[in-house]
Amino acid sequence: MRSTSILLTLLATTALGATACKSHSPTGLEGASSGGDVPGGHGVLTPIDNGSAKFAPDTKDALSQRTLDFNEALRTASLKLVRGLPTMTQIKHVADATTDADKRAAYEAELDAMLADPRFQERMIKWWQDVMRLGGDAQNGDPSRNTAPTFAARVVAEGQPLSELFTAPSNTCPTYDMGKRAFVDGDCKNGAPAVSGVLTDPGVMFQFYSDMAFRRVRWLQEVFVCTKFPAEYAKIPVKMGSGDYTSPWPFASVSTMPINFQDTSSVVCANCHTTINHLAPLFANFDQKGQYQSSIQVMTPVAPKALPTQMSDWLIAGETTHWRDGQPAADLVALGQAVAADPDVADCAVARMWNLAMSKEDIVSDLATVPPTVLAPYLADFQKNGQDLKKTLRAMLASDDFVRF
Amino acid sequence: MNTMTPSLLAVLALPTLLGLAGCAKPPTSLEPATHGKPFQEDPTKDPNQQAGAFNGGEKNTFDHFADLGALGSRDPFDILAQREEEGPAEIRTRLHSCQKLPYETLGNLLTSLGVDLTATATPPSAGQLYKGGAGALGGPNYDARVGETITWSAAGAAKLFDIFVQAAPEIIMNLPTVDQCKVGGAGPSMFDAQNACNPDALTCIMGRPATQAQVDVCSHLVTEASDVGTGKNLAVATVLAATHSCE
Repeated sequence: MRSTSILLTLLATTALGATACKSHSPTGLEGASSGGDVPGGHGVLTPIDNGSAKFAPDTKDALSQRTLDFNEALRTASLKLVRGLPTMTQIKHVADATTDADKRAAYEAELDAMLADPRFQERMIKWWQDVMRLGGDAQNGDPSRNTAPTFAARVVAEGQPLSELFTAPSNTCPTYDMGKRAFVDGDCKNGAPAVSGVLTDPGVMFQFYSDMAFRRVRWLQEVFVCTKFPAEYAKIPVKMGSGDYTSPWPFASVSTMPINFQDTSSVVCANCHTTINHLAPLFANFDQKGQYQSSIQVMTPVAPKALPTQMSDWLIAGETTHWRDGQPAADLVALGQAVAADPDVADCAVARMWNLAMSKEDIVSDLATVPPTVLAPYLADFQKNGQDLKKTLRAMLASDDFVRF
Repeated sequence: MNTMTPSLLAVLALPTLLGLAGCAKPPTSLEPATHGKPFQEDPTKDPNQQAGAFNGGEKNTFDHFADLGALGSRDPFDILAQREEEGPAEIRTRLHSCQKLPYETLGNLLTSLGVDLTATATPPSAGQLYKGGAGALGGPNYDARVGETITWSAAGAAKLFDIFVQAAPEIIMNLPTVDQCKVGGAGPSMFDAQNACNPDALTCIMGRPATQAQVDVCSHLVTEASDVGTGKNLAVATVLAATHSCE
């Protein structure tokens, strides 16, 4: 992908002739062997030998060679925020400003206008659809899979705190009126005893239905914590069977029948399943259509025929549901509170926003992680502004990194 | 996946053959998108999928799906190789990457420049190519729990360029009247009386101010084709392809 991107970029710069050999070129990562202006610094680093292409990882030049271009920033921000090119009037507003300070002021004024544009709401719906891997209208008795992305988009567009995503007690299934270009209030009405943001959304429960509710747990982990399982690590791993047991949970807290989650013959299942199995029962009463029922609705995959799951299939007697070790969650409302308070969830949301701004790939599937040194100022801003992702996105789009190419 | 390299090179060959000089050092390899497994399930119809599909047995462990989506996960070694090429995280994450235009954004862009996405023609119009090309252009597949792709595939890039070639005549014809390009109620024509590219028009279709060098390249392209009309279409298509390969 990277090379394809580079080639396409080269095509652009080559064909137009004027801006070639600037920051997008891979050659920008070659040569430098010391220094670096990244916050935190990184000391002496070893050059990487990548076959015939060699570069030093400490690449001061790659950053310093960038040039300020508020019109290029306006173009890419416009495509990201309102899904269209800037108009000639907008382009000239920035281009006709005489000093860099004036250009920045003009650019930021256009930025604010785009963030207030109804098209930004629609962009956020689409972005959350992609992040949540979820979309589509209700049909044939299946629930709408647009409600959770629409709710999340509303939280962002209206500047509500991110925690609402997991704790909102009502109005969590809004729709979007394309004619009026506005959100429309709506409750999910899928029978959940208490509503807790997207955690009780029928479209989510429908889309990620699976054996033992494991896919729903994985969705929660990967979308909102930005990592795959295992999610928890003990301070000291313990040798167990063919591998190391790394979870902080008591090894014997997960079931052995009918599935042996304590098996260590090939991999240590409990490294992940101690966390997963303490979460999955919370999602188990939603059926295949995403409707909440009074009993467990998922199946345990045993041969020759899957059987309805029982609590003892996940956990040994006496164990209760938790978000993480030491953080009990008796129901989805409690889970929502725990998720909302988890700093990893805030990190994840801010990292996803950064990747949106800088055109990066998926943080989980493509491992497009963002170093803490890069995220730190935006995380601080996010916590300071009341967990308002829209304001944090604005800070990113106005940052020195975003306006340099 | 290296078999896709010639395709991509073929795509890139067009502007090269048009005589456009490059100065950047070419990369050493091509790494096309790797999400290549065919889609085989539809959770909207049968969330359980195959009964017992994930069952364990005496001779096997439970089958864990490799990705939240149905199309499988990327090879971690492929990711590692990419990251090595890109450089250290503290640097590369602060540089813009080249993201493809999302499918709906491309439609908005074409419409704003005067392209009628409902028009039909033989050979297929830009609108027909666009509407029939959602898959190639990397549109989402939510039924498979897969969002829109971020990067181009070779097929997607080729499809994008095809669309721009077909869209060029419509854009040239309609540009003076589209709101996108108007300033003070008047819009620019794409070319002047001498068939040279109009800087304002170029600025509008690029989304940022055109430099004199870019105007010169555009005008030069008009003269390089077999006739002026073809040259104008190629010039507009080339500018669009070059500019909008990255979001």
